[in-house]
Amino acid sequence: MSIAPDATGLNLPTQQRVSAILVTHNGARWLPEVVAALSSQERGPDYLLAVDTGSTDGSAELLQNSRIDLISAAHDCGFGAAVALAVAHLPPLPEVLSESGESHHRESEWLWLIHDDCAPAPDALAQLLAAVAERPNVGVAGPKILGWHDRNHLLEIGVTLAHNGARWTGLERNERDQGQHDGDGTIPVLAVSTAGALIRRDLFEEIGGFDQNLPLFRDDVDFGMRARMAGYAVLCVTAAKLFHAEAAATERRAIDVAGGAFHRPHLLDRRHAAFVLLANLPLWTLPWIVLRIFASSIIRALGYLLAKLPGYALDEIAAVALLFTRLDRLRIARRSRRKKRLLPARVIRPFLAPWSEQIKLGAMRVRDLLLRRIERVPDPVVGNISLSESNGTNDSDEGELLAPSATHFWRQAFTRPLFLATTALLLLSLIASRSRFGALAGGALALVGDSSGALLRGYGESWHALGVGSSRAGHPFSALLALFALATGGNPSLFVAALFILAPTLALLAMYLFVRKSGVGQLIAVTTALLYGTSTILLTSVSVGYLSTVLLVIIAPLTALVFKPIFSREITTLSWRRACASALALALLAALSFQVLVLAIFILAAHLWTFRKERDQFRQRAIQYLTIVASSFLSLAPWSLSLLTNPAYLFLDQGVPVALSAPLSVLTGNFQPSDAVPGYVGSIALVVGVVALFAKRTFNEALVIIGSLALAALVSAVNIAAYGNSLTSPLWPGGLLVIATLFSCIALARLSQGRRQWLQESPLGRAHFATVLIAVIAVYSVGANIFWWVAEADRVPVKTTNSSVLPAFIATATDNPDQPKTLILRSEVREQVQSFAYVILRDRDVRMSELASLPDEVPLLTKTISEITAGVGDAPASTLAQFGIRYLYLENGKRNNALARKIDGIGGLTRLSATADGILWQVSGSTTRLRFQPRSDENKSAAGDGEFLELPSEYVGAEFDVPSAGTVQLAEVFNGRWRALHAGQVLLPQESEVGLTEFEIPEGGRVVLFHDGTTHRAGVALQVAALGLLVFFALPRGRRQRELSDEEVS
Amino acid sequence: MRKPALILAAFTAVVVLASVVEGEQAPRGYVESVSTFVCPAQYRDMNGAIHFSDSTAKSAIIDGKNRSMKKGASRVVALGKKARVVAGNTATPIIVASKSATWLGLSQCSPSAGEFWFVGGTSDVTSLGYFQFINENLGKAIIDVELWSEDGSESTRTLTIPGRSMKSFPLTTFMPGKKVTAFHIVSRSGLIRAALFDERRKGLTNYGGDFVAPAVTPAQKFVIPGIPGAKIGKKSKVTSQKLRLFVPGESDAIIQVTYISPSGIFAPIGLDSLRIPAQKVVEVDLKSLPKSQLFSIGVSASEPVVGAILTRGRFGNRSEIAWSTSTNVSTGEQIALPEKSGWLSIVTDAPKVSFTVSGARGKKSTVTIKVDSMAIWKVPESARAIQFSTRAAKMSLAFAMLNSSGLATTSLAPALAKELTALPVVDSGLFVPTAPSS
Repeated sequence: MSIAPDATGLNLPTQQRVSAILVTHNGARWLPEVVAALSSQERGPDYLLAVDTGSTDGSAELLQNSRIDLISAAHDCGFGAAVALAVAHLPPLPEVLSESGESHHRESEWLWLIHDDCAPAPDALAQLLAAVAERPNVGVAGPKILGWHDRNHLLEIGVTLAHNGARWTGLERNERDQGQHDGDGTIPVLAVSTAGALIRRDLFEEIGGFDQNLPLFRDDVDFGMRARMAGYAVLCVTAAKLFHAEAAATERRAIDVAGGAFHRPHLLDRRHAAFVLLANLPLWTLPWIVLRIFASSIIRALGYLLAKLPGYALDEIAAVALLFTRLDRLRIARRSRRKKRLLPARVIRPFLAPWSEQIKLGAMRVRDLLLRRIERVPDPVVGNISLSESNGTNDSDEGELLAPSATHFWRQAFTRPLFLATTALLLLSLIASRSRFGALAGGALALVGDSSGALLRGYGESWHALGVGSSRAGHPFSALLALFALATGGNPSLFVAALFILAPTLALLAMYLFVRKSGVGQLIAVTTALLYGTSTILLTSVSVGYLSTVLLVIIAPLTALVFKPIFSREITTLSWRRACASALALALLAALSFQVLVLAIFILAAHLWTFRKERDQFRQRAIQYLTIVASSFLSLAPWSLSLLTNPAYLFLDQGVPVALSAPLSVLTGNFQPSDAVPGYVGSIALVVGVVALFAKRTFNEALVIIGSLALAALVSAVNIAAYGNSLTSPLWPGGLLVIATLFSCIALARLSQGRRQWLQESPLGRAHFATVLIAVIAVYSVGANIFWWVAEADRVPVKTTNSSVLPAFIATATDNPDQPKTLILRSEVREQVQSFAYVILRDRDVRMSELASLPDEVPLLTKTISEITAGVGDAPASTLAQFGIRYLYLENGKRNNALARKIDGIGGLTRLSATADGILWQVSGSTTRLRFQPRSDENKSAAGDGEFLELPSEYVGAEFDVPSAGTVQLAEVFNGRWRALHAGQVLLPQESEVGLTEFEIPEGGRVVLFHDGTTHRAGVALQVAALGLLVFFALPRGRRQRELSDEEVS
Repeated sequence: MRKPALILAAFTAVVVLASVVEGEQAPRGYVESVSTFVCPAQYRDMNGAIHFSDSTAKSAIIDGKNRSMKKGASRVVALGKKARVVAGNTATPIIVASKSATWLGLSQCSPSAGEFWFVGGTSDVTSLGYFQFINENLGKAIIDVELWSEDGSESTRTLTIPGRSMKSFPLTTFMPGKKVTAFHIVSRSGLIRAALFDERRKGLTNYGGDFVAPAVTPAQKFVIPGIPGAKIGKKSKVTSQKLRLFVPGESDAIIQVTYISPSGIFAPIGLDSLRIPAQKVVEVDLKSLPKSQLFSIGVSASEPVVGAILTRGRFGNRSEIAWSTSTNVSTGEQIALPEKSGWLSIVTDAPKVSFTVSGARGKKSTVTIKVDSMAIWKVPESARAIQFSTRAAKMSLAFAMLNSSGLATTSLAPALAKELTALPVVDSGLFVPTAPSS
């Protein structure tokens, strides 16, 4: 016990005595500076006493050399205990009084707590004392805490708790100190950090010092709370500054405190957080707090798991578990607090971090994170000026930027090329979409439905109640669409409507982002993006209704950002994280068009070939590329697995097949789908591809353009009968054309970069003509495309529709437990031949995303329809009844009167109604989905033959009672995976004569009919696992605190 | 420079390959279907027979029991109490019916249809005529019979013909007392075959009888071929020839009638701008007729019209009537003939016409005749069928017979074309709702 050596030299204020207590633990790294700061205080402490808690790094020696009084404590002594030890060593108050000989009040002695890793500014103590001198009710005052390394980095201005117990400073990450929080110099707070805290000694003694249960972390908050409840004020004095390295919290040193289990600061932090809440808050709120602590621990643990920090995740869970193993401590803590409490616990409520603030800050952090990823904002620039973008291109404007004014901002925004292009394209899109507001259909686009949930449910089912039933795996596009539609509140129909209006604008923005990221100038980037946003393939897809291609156009440039580093020459080794991210991106693209995956295989193989001379690299890359392709393939299971047996469907995009002219016109980008695209519209891809081939810097792009165009031509030359169609039609080469267009835009941007200057400097030659040619073609393409898009928007197939294929009254009639079907028949004259097309519907229209699950044609049904339309055959209607078809609906009743009369002539069909829209017949006989025929007894005559018992059924499965032994027939095509559960036995299905699913039931009783979807579920599980793993590995790895650089943390 | 050129060459090769391998659309399945002919049943004391071109034609009686068609023993089948359906892949069968010493009638079997126009018959006291509606299909047919007379529109009758059955209705039940009638039969549901027979008797005097063939749908131009002329036979005298016309539209029609005979075309005075009131059935007397065995008329009108010609006269020793109706022009006809002598009238713009005549035991010969607007070919008794080449010119045909029973004419309907329909396909395009038509 002694007085600090330099204390005598100071001009002592007469009323305040300060005893500084410096607690050290392996702090040799910071200690010299701490001691220096203490000695250079303008108003130094009256006493300085150091407590060393078993340092092993020479801290003690350092202190002794500085001739500071030192008390040694055990190495596992917590901060609170160390301070208590020091206070016990201080001269008792009355002694101090008698020594000075003056009549001071007891209240005037202060404890100034100093960590071994914090350095107060020279005027820190003076400012603190000045602040408390004016406010007699203050029990604790703390300085503004700034970073140790970055002394502008604002760390704390007082501290409070979030509702889940997290330490809450209310500051943004990396917030700079510009005095923005200073106010009038003092901020009333819940608590201040113990580093640099000035605490009244009598208060300290009155409430029993720091809680010994909190050897480290949260002791400060807990103390502040108790001080508040004891009736004192807690202040942060912003004029007093302290620089803090936060060595323990940022894992710069090992923690040795007792109960600092396993040296895990994070665990300690979480446990103490919970402890503080549970010990201090009113009893009646405890259940709610417990719940919150549990929930937040679990969520945080999951977050850490995703960030690949399993240690922290374990800490989260262990902290809560450990806390509840020592409830006795909590009880004691609560009891002691109750004794010393003067004010109710609600006085601290206003100081807890408000919800809104927590959410706002969280959102801002996410925004920062995103911004950093998207725009290469170097560092948050001072103030609001960083809002105005354009970094780099017009550096000369810097002076103006520093003095921003409102009008200037708007003028600049309006004259920015991106703004102009976006606005113009948006306006044009709105005009062009005049017949596309609302639910859309037409061309390749069937109705999309209005519930994401229904789409996802359908995707998960192993048996699709479509037409005559199908076990075909759903296309992953359907799940993807459902997820996308969450953006419009889970309404896919609304999503598609919005997408079709915004598609050109979104494509423009996506392309702009990509090109800008590649370091292309603003003007060229906007031009390129405009070319892309008005590309033929996009406008054609919107007009013809290839939803997946529209999405692909928008997403492709964004995913290209993910792929880019693979092909970058600067990066020699590809990280696994990048590989996984690429696989995810590829899976996304492949879900939209599998053509892209096939093309990617070619590109990756070609790229791999360039590594053939470097053995190690080659092997590494080969494994990674294989992983990319294989895992993205598996991410599309179970649908992609079905491609293995049906490779013909590899190139089939999602949509109702439309007629198109192929393959040569595919090269021009205008393949006249549905005859909707006039001849003057065309794509620039081929021309750019050829020109780019002759320039060194775009050679690779040219290869991709030419390659994908060639593949597109090949693909479109193939005729395939799409799912649920009997006729073949040429494949839609959308996916490949998107890639060709994307790369031609990239190539164009690259070619244009620096072109003007180069042309000016070189003599007139071939290059000049090529440039002019391309420029003219590009301008023409944009102009012609936009003209067509806007002028002829009414004449394209995709339009608003408020009707459905299935008339509403049939939809209602078929929404019964017997689940009957309706056959829709269309008659038209094609190539001077009367042609008939038909489909079978259930109680609703088929959704766009279900097209890939449509069942195959049933030849027997086709023959039956043929007989019906020809008016011949022996009771063809009875075949319809067997398939559960209750209604026959002939479209366009007015024009098909002759056919209708013919159909009338067929027995077994009763005309129900006839309107201009269509004519409806009911098929006589039993047309229920599920029926039961009792086993015809040998003794009985065949009188009972043909008598059916109609059974109710769910959409897919069914549960019913049968009166006797007999046959249960499901009016759906045979599938071996149907099962019937009867009397504890699983019955296998049989195929009936006409190809329906049948079960022989041995005796009466309850039967449960279900479709065994084990294989399907296994496929979906595989998909989820593949996606989960990819997401897990693709996410950035979180860094432990100790891995952060000093500059980043303080 | 070489590398890009190589790549471009490879690209071109792939594109060429693509256009070479370009898959044709998989061929659609087609179904050839031919409608069946439906032949009416006998009525009261009518005698008659259906003549096929040969004995391979399959036919069946229309009733509730059998539907399967069978070959007959001979190429002639007597008219029965029930109507008969004949497989369509044969020459159009012809029906020769008569009531001994009273009348002779000619008709062709024809396919069921949803709509018929008949201009002919009468509902006054002299009428013994009737309508026969035949439904060959399983489903019942509901038909509307729209009626017009000299007094204008009469109330429409709606009739139900059960499946696989036939119903006959005397003409007098439709518009009692009306002299000049026209009928439009429209099916509401199902297809039917309608046959109209016109027979007249006043007291004990028989005026004769004949089938009235269905007229072509209202048109602004049509031809009525093969109308009996003054020189149709010895001891025969045409007493009156009347053109019965009906304008179904709302406005009156101005019509012009031209006579077409083997000696050429001419426009008679008085028939070049006749105003025919709408919605009324009128009869126009034909005067200054060409002096030929048979002749034809052409009608052109400002509004769609239907029409037919009633010839009355004395042939041999008895009165007889014959109905000639307009007919669709066609090519490639294939017609069964009754192995009785008669006359084939051919109206065409072509200078000559060739056709194949099948005789007994399959003997075939080709006949070529010159035509000046109209030609008359005397059908030999041995002829069982004639067939025009499908490449022949467009023409209108009629057949006329005169024997001891009386005079009969009928226009010859085009042969049944084989109807080529594509096999139905499943087409997911049907899942796309069409935009509301408004």
